[in-house]
Amino acid sequence: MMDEIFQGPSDSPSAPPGSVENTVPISDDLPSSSQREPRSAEGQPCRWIFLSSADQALQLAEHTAFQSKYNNRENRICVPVESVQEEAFTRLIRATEHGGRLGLIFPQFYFGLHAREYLYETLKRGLAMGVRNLVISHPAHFQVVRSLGKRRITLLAGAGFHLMNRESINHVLGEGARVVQVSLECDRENWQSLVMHFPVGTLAITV
Amino acid sequence: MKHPSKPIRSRKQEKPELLAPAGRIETFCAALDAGADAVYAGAHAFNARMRAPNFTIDELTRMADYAHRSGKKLYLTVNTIVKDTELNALKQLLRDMRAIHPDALIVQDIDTAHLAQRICPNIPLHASTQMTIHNVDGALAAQKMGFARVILARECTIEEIREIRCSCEIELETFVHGAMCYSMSGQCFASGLIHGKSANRGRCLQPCRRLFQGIPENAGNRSESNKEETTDPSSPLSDENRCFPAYSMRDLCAAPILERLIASGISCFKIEGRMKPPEQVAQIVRAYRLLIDAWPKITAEVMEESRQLLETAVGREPHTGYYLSSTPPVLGAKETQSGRPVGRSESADTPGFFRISPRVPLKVGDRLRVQLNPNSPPQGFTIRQILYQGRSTKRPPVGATIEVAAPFNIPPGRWIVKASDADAIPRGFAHRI
Repeated sequence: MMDEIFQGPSDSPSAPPGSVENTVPISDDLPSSSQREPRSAEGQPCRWIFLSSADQALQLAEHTAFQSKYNNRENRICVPVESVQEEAFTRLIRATEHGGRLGLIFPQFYFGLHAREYLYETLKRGLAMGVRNLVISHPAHFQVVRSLGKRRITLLAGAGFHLMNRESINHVLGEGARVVQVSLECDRENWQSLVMHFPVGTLAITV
Repeated sequence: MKHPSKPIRSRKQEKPELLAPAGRIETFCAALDAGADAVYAGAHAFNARMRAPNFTIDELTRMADYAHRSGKKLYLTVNTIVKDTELNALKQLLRDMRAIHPDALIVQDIDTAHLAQRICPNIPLHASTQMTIHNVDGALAAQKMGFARVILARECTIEEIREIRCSCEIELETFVHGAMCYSMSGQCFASGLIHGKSANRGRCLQPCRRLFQGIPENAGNRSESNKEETTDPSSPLSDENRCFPAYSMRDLCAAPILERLIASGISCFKIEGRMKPPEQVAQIVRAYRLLIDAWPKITAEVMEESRQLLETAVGREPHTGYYLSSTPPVLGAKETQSGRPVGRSESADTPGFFRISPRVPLKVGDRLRVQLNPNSPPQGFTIRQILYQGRSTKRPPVGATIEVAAPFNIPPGRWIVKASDADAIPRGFAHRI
């Protein structure tokens, strides 16, 4: 299964891989995005492509057609956190600019302390290998991200947050998210209301 | 990572609060009379039970006064996902809520919490179960966001609740009785996608309660106990079309394990069901009141009395939910509708009537429900006329074959359930508040 998430055009499409401009440290004092001036849409939308395993992601990342068209820093490949344990993960890191274009998707639900410990340890290992993007889907995930310490991570707040209004989106951005995927139930009228309030590249939809 | 299982501080074990639902004034009064410590209710907007009658701001104001005069509490729900285009309406509702002086607001959307903290900062916030808080990180996040209480996801086991309790200061509330979702609470898109009625916006049409055709006999039966039920010859659903309520969950009933739940450090026990009729809510409240008051020595006699009370409160087959096992307690081939099984419909001689030999007493004024086809919700109606031996009667003898008037055609073979009892519906409550 593959999900693709389109984000508005990036702020700096020509920025070099791993540069600070396209990443934010996890911080509690990030300014509210509504205080920034919206910019005009330019360039191509950024994609966050969700795949179910490192193996599947590797096949896509190494595919010639994908490489010729989407192999740039505006497109990120995302796999579940547990994919870190797969053999293919090391190769996937190499195929995604040493993890700069690779994201780990949090499990939306994890019950009990053992699952929490496993999540934390697996995330730490993935980040140590070079992963620079995380996809979260519940307010609880901010706690985990904070416990990982200050790192240069780009956070996508996923559809599990059910974000449909600017107050909630500002909260999630304030918690450190860089990109916000709006709720699957966000209709056209609501989307049009939202995009007026956020800089280009902040909001994403599921396609 | 800090190990959160170390207790923050030792807590004195206290009797939990008993919180009951109210979708209308009669239920509100019935719940308080029956012994609820608090009632939760919603206004006409931004509430997860938009299909319930709900309340006007004036009614809520009087209800809050009445509850406070009685030494009880009223919690108000503002627990749906809010669209950007609705923010002004939400702000107005929160200003109205401020004037009502409820004891807490139950909220789901982050924006509602933020706005409530600005508009009515003195009202404590409870994180709705729709927020799907099911672990330590979720509880800590809610605490950080300023919530006073978390209503835990129904999918938590007792052990997981204990872990959460040991890791944070925030009050914990959990459901002890009522309907359960097949999907995780607050994370279901089925109603929105199938019917265009979003569960996250309070309009769930419960597609998980429908019958599904062409599903293998044991589909949905993940537990050993359910396997036997699919072959039950008396099952209303084990015949012609092989339709199954594959995703329909049993009702939660935590009465048998209430002591263990109290020991896990829960502050409040919640009863689900703002759509439930007053007499049903009252019976459930009485049952849990008995148990909580008897704690810490819940005797076999008290347990039996509570069991009998709960038996008279119509509902689906009971189960202890996820508290003891993470396996979803689906109904299998059991009746998927909430209510007491009455029997199957038969053809009647009189047009506009169906014949039935009811297993339970029926009378004029009772409310019945029937599922006419698997793809539509059950339809309910109030009995207006009963024929017994060709003559109209209000109370036919128990066990007699009777003909019942129905406002729509009920073909033979349909399973009928009794949704509420005319005698048990309290009257005149509206004058008290």
